[in-house]
Amino acid sequence: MNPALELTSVPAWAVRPSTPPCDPAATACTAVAVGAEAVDVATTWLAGAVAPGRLHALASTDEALAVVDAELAEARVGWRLLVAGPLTAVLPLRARALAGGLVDAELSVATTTTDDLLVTCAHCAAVTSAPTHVGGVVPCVGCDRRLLVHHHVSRRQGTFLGYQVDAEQWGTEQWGTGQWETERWEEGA
Amino acid sequence: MTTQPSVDRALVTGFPFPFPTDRYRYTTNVEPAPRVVGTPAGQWGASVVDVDGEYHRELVERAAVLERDPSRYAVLDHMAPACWDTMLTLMRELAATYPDVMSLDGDGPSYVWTNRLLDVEQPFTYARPSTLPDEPLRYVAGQVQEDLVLLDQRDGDLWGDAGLVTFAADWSFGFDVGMSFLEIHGPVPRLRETGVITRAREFIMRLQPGAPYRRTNWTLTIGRQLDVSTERYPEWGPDRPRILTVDDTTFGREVHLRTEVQHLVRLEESGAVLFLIRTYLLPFEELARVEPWRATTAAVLADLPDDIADYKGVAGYRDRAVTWLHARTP
Amino acid sequence: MSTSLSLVVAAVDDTVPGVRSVRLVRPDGGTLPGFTPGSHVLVTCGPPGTSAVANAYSLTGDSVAPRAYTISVLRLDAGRGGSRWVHALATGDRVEVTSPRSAFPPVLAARRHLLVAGGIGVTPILSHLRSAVRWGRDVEVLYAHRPGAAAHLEDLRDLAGDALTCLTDRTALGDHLERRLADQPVGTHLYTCGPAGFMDTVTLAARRLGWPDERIHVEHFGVDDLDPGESFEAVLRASGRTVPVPSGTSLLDALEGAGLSVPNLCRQGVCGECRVRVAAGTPLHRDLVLSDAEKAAADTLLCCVSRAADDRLELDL
Repeated sequence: MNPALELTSVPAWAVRPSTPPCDPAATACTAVAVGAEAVDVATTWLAGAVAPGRLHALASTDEALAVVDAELAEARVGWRLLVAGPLTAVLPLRARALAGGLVDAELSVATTTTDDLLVTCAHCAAVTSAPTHVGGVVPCVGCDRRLLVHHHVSRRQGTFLGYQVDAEQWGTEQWGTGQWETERWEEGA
Repeated sequence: MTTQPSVDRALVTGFPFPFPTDRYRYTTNVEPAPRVVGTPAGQWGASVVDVDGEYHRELVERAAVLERDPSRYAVLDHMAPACWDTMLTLMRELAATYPDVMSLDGDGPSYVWTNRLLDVEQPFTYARPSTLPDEPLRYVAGQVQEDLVLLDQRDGDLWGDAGLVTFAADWSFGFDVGMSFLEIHGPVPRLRETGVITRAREFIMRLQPGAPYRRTNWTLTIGRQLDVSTERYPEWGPDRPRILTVDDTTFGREVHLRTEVQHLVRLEESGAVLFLIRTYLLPFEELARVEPWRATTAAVLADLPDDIADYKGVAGYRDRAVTWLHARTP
Repeated sequence: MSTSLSLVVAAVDDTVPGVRSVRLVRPDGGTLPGFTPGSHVLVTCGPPGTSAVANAYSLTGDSVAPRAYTISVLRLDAGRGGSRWVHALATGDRVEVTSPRSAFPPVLAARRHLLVAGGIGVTPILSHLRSAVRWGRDVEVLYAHRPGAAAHLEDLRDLAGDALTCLTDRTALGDHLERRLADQPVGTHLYTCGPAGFMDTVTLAARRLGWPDERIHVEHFGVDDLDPGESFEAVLRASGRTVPVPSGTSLLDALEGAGLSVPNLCRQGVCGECRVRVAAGTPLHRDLVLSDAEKAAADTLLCCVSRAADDRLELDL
């Protein structure tokens, strides 16, 4: 049984695409957009800003992380940051911004798609990026265990927690993990 | 049934039995600490830190867990003052509770920590890392059986920003580091719906130094295993279906009632909250010898709602546990 | 809620006109409880055992294993008499204080600390500064004071060096404040203590410059202490007895004093154990347990913290 997600660490924007407004109190704004779709969202966000804004359109998360680092190093209090893009990009970007000292009120997050998730394996710590959802099952790229995607997101790591879906199946060792149908675990019991 | 006790008697007489009544639900069950609680077998609760006969064994186990998986210890940069604060607070607490074997001499910033149980005599200077052989939080975690979580209070919230947790009951400290108090508890059913967890947060945010509080939590654990973390789930998860196949004698020996005594301490200088989690395990075969404990445990397990049983991981064998306990009615 | 400490005046310092610093120690000279920077104690401003006013004063000294608590008190001749009493203390006098309470702590996660003091509001700022120096925190101090009347100026200079700016002119203060608030690295937290009007000026300027509330910290003395409340009578329906509940005594304490046993745990309005049914009268709810709807229903209350809105409450006890 999964609880209502608003009662967990999973933000609403991690479940469905979102377009947050810009805080009118801002004295400076930066939008960091990953992917073409995100540029539209960022443009809308900046249009709502009262203060001068800058838009960085980037092709990859790594490039965007470098831009966030550079902006954080220069920013003064009063500044607001938007990170926009696929969930797999914005979660690590949010993590970097929070680690850089931003508080939630200074940070807007917009997702253009939530189809893929980053999942940290509780057992081997490898991070798997895969098309799935909360309650779904993905094979771990590190240890090959089949991981149940838990409704639990780390703001520091920017990933969902995954743990072995079939550890309590009697005879797993003999039968191998491939015997179990994904469907029976998808939505939980 | 064997007549030989399977565990040290002190583990029975000092066991903090967690059920005040025959019905268990989540509540904000906090009370001022320390306070001695009498039980049908003995008593518990006389101190904030508790050293018992398992001291050496558990400290060796903690070191082994850390060696295998360093992610059980984490300190976000800004928590360094809270770690020193924790170390000093726990040393004072230990010295006051066990003056025959432990002492903290000096009145700052230079001190000498003595722990005869571990043959330790350690001079150090507060807030000076070079004067200690290890980081302060990890150092003091080598002196106590408790797991340690530090909550930073800011933005009207509590943040789990440091800790050392080697004896987790199906959660992952390493993954949860840096989360807010409510985020950490997101996976627990009913907590926020019933307001219990938001009330607990309000309460913790109002804690004052010098006035520690405590609560208990419980679950069942198969085998005398302290480290049943999510990290190790592939190793202990299969015990749950397996326990349904064992005979009654083995069932009583392997299934343990696990009580966590959790203390909440507001640290003086850093203002952070120290959350201490001390784990006690009692096998059913010993529990059943104390009649009020047997009867109450049977009643609680029989009445436990499915979602709580599921979250605690006992749904699969709680019927067997109830039957087993009923069969031992005198 | 707080423990009481009986201390002795070890020294007084009247160097700054109108401000007296008092050094309080334990009679046995031992170490006092440490405290979070920005903490205050409530000082009973009168001889021990009398019902005197209790004033909150910030602790200005070292916060780890302190040998003394030091407070600095501005003499207010129009006040309730607390500051006049402190100004009449002599070495060796006994003073009752509560254990320190923290309501204005430094944010550990801050990247930088901007401390803005106005007049005698410098006292909690000084203890923030001490801890910033101990832990190597990035800090900047603005101190607004009247010319020639600057308490702890030497302490601030010693601790802050170039990071201290003193301002004695109102216009210069406004300009400087504006400039400095507009140019703080992201991650900075702002702390201010001083007269209410001064703190309003500082916080309004910060908000106008886009500072989110999470980064703005204002000293409110003792906000987390519940006030003692008005006295009232509790009528016990079962026996018809009347139990007086004086100001400063909780309903739970009064009921226990009258020989009743009420289940309770936290005695702070959090656990919900001491809920009792109200038969008549209007409760004054002060707990964290009851929902708004339950409070509005007015048929129960948590007797450890809640009281009567009027002078009488009838309980189903």
